[in-house]
Amino acid sequence: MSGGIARGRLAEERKAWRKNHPHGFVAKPETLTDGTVNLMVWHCTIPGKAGGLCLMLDCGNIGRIGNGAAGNSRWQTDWEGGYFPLTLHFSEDYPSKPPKCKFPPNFFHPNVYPSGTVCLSILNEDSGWRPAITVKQILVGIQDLLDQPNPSDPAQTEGYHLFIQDAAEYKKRVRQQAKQYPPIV
Amino acid sequence: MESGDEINIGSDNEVNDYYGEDANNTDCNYDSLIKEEDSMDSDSDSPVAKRPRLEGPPDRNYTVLKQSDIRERQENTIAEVATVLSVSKAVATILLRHYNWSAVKVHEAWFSDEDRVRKNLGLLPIIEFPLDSTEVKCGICFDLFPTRDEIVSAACGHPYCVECFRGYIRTSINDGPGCLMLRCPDVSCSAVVDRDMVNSLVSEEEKQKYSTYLYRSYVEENKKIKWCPGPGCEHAIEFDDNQGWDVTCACDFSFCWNCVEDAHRPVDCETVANWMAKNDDESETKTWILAQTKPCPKCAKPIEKNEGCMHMTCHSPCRYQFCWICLGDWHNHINCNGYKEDKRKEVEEAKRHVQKYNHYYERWAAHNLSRLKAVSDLGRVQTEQIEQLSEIHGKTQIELGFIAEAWQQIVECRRVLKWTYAYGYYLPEAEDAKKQLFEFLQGEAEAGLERLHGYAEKEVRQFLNADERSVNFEGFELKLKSLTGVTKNYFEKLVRALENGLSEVQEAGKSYMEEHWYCDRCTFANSWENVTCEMCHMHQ
Repeated sequence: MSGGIARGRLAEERKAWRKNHPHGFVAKPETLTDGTVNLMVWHCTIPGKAGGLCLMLDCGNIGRIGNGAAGNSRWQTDWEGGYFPLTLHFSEDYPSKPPKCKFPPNFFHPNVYPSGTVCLSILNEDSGWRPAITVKQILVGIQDLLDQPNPSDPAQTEGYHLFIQDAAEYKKRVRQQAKQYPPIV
Repeated sequence: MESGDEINIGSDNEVNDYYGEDANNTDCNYDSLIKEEDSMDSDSDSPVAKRPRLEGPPDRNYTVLKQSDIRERQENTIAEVATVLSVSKAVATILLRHYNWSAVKVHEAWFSDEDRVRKNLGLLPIIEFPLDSTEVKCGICFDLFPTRDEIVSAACGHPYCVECFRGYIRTSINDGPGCLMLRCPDVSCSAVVDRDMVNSLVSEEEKQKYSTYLYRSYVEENKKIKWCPGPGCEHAIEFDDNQGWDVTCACDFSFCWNCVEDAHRPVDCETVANWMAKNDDESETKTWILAQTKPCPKCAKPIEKNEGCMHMTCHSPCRYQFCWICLGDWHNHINCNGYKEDKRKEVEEAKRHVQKYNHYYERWAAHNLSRLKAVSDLGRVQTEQIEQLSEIHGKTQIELGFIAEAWQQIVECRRVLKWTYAYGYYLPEAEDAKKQLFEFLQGEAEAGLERLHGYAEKEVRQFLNADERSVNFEGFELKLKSLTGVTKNYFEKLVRALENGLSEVQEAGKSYMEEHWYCDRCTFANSWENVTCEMCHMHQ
């Protein structure tokens, strides 16, 4: 409804990102074959969390902070070492409506639909989305979600079942997937 | 007017309740009392239509609310809370919505812990955004604005440009009633965007939409008020906990306030839900098909067999020949006897179920149809017949009210009878005595109603066609009145008996069983004191 501001806002987002962004993350508007830039689609990379203190977003995730926190400020997450490709699709209604965030299809995670679409409260236009949420906040939020799935809101059968029923196998699958997405040199 | 009074009885109670809860604040409530009186006057020229209720307790335990009544109550409650808590009406609205529009609950929560309530609902103290920076950046479009004139914020002070904030509110209003709980566009901020702010930014049309959502929320979030489900009806009904859920709206639609189905005394809501679900799906039919047919072993078409020999030939083009019992190819068939009994029993059982259900459903549906017809007849009686009769027989329309009353009674009785069939269907088959009593009562009720219905429908014709006053009219009046009265009494008793689960039977049956032993040879019921049977002298 705040018609026409999508591109302006995205240009500003881009500027802000270039000035300052979290380490290891990539976020870039798509470049078309003719060399023009399409601000409405961003190709991003989310690094698997290296461990340490978790940033908690207000998304109902069950934190696992307690596990590694005892006397140990850094612990390994199973996602570490993976650099996961994510595409943000913005609509003309942005920032009234959230962008659609997609991993590759069949991405293994309890809260990612088989199509690759991420299910996260802050990305839900009916509940958590607010127009002031920045691209940076979205990416950091999804990074948190990777290591802290939300079992009350499953989006795929396999990831959800393993997460609930077979912790060892779940861990294995996550590590396998992290190896599948090595850093782009 | 009568109905006007009733509405104010409701709101008076609320005020009284409130005084009881919080007697110290009487001075604040002074003007809300005056408002109540004002509303009484304004009500009198727009009365709520009311019909006498024929069933149930004579004092109604509910109030029909018209649109204007709902708006007025909503505004009064908001004004009351705003005055008592010294907050803006917009803030009072947010508080009331959160506490299901109960002023008492708002007061309780607010006075026990104001800070907590404020925090939960995002009613933050106003923070001025630091003014030292010359340029302010809008948190939505990220543009820089040189002056604060173009910047707006909720109480939290997060700065957004007017255009973006307007867009934010608009989107939310167009998305539905969620706009009533709008918060600051910042993700971690809980500051509420209240009605005043909405009204200051959006167009007339959007304001109207917002106010409609707010109006509806008064009914939908209120634990004691529900919309009338009658077609096209915009009234709501406030229910005071009391006996009996059945209510009749000013639009004449009767429904159960609890489950919002059609009124269904004497049957309880659960039975009704089961019955309606049963009517909806064809589960019985499916059971029947499964039990009654077998798929052809070759082409799998279901085949029903009701008589004849076991040699089956499927329809063209299949023409497969097989044994009905073992489904084996007929050409190699010798015999397959043994183990048929089980299957046969299943078939019989399923058949019996369907027949039983059909029996009750047919009657349930017939009374339903008859009731709908009676409703339309009642309309005709009220508009045409009474006028006509009043001309011919020189009676006032009020004097002829007994005819409409008879029809109202017919409508009500059809409704009760309809539901007794759902009751009968679910009556446990093992409880034979109950079943017998139930069927007797139901049969009597049906006969009584048919008498009344027939009389009201047919007997009146001779007086409608008469050219002049007839001496027999007095007799007609007397008989119709007495039939109405008798039927009414009978049905009230029936409803009560069924609502008590025919408890008389249970007690009588049980105590009789307990006090006697039945002789094995002659089945005579002997008292426990007798060691040998009183009839045949057989030992116990």
